[in-house]
Order: sequence, then C-alpha cells, then structure tokens
Amino acid sequence: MPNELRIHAADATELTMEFAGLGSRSYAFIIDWHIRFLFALVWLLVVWLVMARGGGFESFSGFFEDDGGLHDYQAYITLLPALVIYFLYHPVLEIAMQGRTPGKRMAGVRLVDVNGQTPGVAALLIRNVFRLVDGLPAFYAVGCVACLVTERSVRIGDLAAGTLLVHEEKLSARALERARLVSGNRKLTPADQELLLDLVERWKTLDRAIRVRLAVRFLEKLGEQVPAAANSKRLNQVLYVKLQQLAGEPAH
Amino acid sequence: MSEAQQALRHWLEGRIERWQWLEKQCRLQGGGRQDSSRSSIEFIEGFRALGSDLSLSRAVFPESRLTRYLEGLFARAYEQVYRRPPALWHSLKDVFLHEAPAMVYDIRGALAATVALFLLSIFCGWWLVYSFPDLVGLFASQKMIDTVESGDLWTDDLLNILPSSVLALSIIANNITVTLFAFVLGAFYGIGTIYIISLNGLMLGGVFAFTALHGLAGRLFEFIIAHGVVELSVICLAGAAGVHLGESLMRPGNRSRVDAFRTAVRRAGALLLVAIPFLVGAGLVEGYISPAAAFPLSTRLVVGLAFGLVFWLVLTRSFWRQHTG
Repeated sequence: MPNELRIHAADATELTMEFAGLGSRSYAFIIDWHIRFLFALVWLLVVWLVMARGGGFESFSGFFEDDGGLHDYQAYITLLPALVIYFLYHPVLEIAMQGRTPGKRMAGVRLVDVNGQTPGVAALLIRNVFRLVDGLPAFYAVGCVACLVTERSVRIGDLAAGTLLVHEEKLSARALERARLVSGNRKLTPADQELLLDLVERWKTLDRAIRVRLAVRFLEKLGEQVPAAANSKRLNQVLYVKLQQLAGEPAH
Repeated sequence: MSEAQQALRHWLEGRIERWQWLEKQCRLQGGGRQDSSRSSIEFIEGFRALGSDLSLSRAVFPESRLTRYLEGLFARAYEQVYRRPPALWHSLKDVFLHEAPAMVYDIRGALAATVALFLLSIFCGWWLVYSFPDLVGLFASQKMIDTVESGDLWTDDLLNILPSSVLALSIIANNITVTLFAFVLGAFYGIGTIYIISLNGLMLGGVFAFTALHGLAGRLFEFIIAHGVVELSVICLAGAAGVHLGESLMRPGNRSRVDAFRTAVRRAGALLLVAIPFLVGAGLVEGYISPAAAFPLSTRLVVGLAFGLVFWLVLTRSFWRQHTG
C-alpha cells in the first residue's frame, strides 16, 4: 500500500510526502482538544471572576440568570469568545497557519491538498464541518475506522474536502548545525552520519538500556573501540560523549 | 578530511543560512504579507538554488532527514512561487451572488422532495399525537407536557429562566449544529439526512397537535412565526443538500464515487455558507422577539415573512434572473 504522496512539480522535480497515520493524527487532536478546552475554560473563569467582583454574583449558575444576573453585553463578552475558541479553533487556525494547528505542529504533521499544497479555505471549512460525521457515535469512532481502512489514512472529512495529512520534516537550527558538523567526519558514510545524528538527537528520549545498546552496536559497526565504564549510568554518559565527538560537537 | 567531504562541508556551511531565510520567508508570505518586487526576485532566486541543493542532497544523502527537510522546504517554496493570488473576498462574493443561487436551482428536485418529506412528517406527527395523545412522550419532555397540560406554553417563561442573549446564543449554536448534521449525514447515502428531516417534521407536527388538544396551538404559532420561516427553510435546504450528497454517492456517473462526493460537497457547502448568517439572524429573533410578550402577532408575522422573503430572494437569484433576463 503506497504510504506517500508523489507530486510532480512544474520544473519536473518529483517530491514525496509521507502520509500521517492514525497515531500522529490522534496525538495532534488530543493536544489541540486540550488547548481549546483550556483556553475556553480559562476565558470563562477569568471573565466570571472579573465580573463577579463588580456584580456580586455568588455562584457560576447565578451568573447566567436573567433576574439580577448578566446584562446582555456581559453575556456576549463571556460566552461568545468561549464558543468561538471551542468551535472555531480548528478551522481558524488551520486557515491562519497554512494547514497546521499547534497540535499538528507538535506532532510534526500538516494538511495538504492532493497537489501537495496548502488547502484552500473552502476545503478546510468542509473538513471541519465533517467532524460531525467523523465524531459519531463517540470518540471519533467513524473517523478512526475511516483512517484505518482508507489507502491514504484519511477520515471522512478529508475525503469530502480532498485534503491529506502528511508528515512534515522540520530541522531546528541546532539540527542543521549538527548536520554541518558531522559532514566533516571522514570515517562516516552519509548513511552512518544519518544514523549518528538520529541517535544523538533522540538520545534523551530513549530508554537508557536501549540507547546504550544502540550506541554500542553503532560503534562496533564503525570498528570504534567501545569505552568501558564501571556501571550502566557511567557507560551511558561515556557513550554519549563519544557519539558527540564523532558528530564533531564539543562534548558538554 | 577528503576533498569531497571538504566540499560537502563547505556547501552545507554556505547553504544553511539561506535555507533558514527561505523558511522564514515562506512563513511570512503564507501569512499574506505583501512583498516588494525586489524581495520577490530574491525569493525566486533562492527557490531555484534550493532546487539544486535538493538534487545534490538526494545524490549524497538519499533517504536522510536533511533531504526530507529540503523536500518539505522546496514544496513550501514551490507553493509560494506558483500559487494563485488570494482572493477570499471575491470568492465569498461569488458564493453569495452566483454559486449558492445556482446550486439551489440545480437541486430544485431534491429540495422539492425534501420539503414534501418534511410536510409529510409534520402531518404524520400531527395525526399520531392527535389520535393517540399519549405518544407525545416520544417528541416532548415530561416538563413540557406538564406545562401544556396546566394550560401554559413552555416558551412563556423562557425569558425568566435565561436572558435573551444567552437564549439567542444557545439557539444559534443548536440550529447551526442541526443544519450541519442534516447536511453531513447525507454522506451515509442520504439516509442520515432523511432521518433528520423526518424526525424534525414528526416533532413539529406532534408538538403542534398536542398544543392544539389543549387550545394552545395559536400561541405556539405566534411564538414560532417570527423565526420559524427562516429556520425551517434552512433545515429543508440543508436536507436537500444532504440528499444531493447521497445521490452523488449512489449515482456518481462517469467519475469515481469519491470524486463525485467531493464535487457535491464543495457545491452544496456554498448553500450552508449563505444559510449560516440567516441562522444567526433567526437565533437573535428567537432570543429577543419570539419569547417577548410585547410584540403582537402582526409584528411577528411581518418580521417572519420579511426575513423569509429576503432569504429566498437571495437564494433564488438564478430563477428570477433567468425570467427577467
């Protein structure tokens, strides 16, 4: 099953974009859901606190009562932004951030159309309206099943709008600097350089036993001497320093 | 260090800053920033150089993160160079003035069928509850039933429970959700839409019959008329759009089902875009005019019919433009 989008640019360059699966999609959604929920809640609570100090509302429910409660303009100030944050978070941010949201950015994915370009406003609105179907009957069950059974791992909203969720490779300034530094190591082939950079970048997120095993195997593959250490904690530190040296970085 | 590697390092040293500059420009230009012709030319030159960098990176570091990064950057820069200029305002104007009216004309058959289904459901709901009053429990809550049986309408106290603003906002949110549901459930071969339209019709007919049994139908009509013309029109229109989606899946013609569905969604979506401002208006009327005892029936009739007339005039431009040349 093809898991990437191939685009032929006008100057005959071929580009590929890897489709994001259910995992990345769910990860991005969960982050976004928490952001919008918290922002809407914080707005409600802050406005309530500010107005309650002046209006003497004793409870949150009393705040919405007509008799002695909110004036019309206060209700709009309180409720309208909260509703807008909660319901328009996805469409507005996807339009403003060119197919991304904070959650998608953190998950390293973005939306594109079938030509690999940022989808138009209409497509982004349509994919969000179809959340109503994808969310049925609960917890995005229809959307999850659609992602699992469709060739490009898309939900119904994406099918309707012609949008795709693809991985987006971002390299930080530090990662680019590492790539520059490691390119000077003549012992390493480009493939080894790639492995080394990957290992150094992910070092702190890997389990200690796993990263030690990977580092030992990598050094053995290169024919480098594996440093000895008194215990696994010390070995972990020594190996990291060794890998940093190989990558051309000053060890910290 | 070998000569090739020296060259490679030199290349990377020279290019990294340039890639970061391009990345920043893509971000800024995507945000709609207008650029001078000089910076545009600079961007295009950077884009061309990036193409060469990508080729070199693919040759030296195939399958690497650097190559994937450059591919992503190239795609974004490519989009900036070749995209059409944004014309959101013109597109929106086009939707209101041409696309939505043309769509109403194209789906007039589905619209007539949806209205017929809605009226039939109202009649069935009325007949069911009028003949078997106990069945009202299917369509109304116990609290509503108790209020009507005591000779009052549940709408009488609305403004004592909630202020108009909160009422209007909750009604707007609810109406937009129902409308969107009626549309998107067409994705289930139209069956979901038929279900929503029938259910709403049955409820309306059933509740009217129950109030009629207690001599309150006139007062319910008085409550509904100011906002109901537009609200019920939008429900029928969304239903017709949903039926159109179902039809595109059942009879896709020469295209694949997905393509036919996508085209149908795009075209029918224009209708909803036009309908939503009217739903906001209807929600405000329902929050401020419908529950207020100060407005007589004549005012409510004028508001409801005038609002409905504007709605249908906007959406039937294709009909009357054709007939007036």
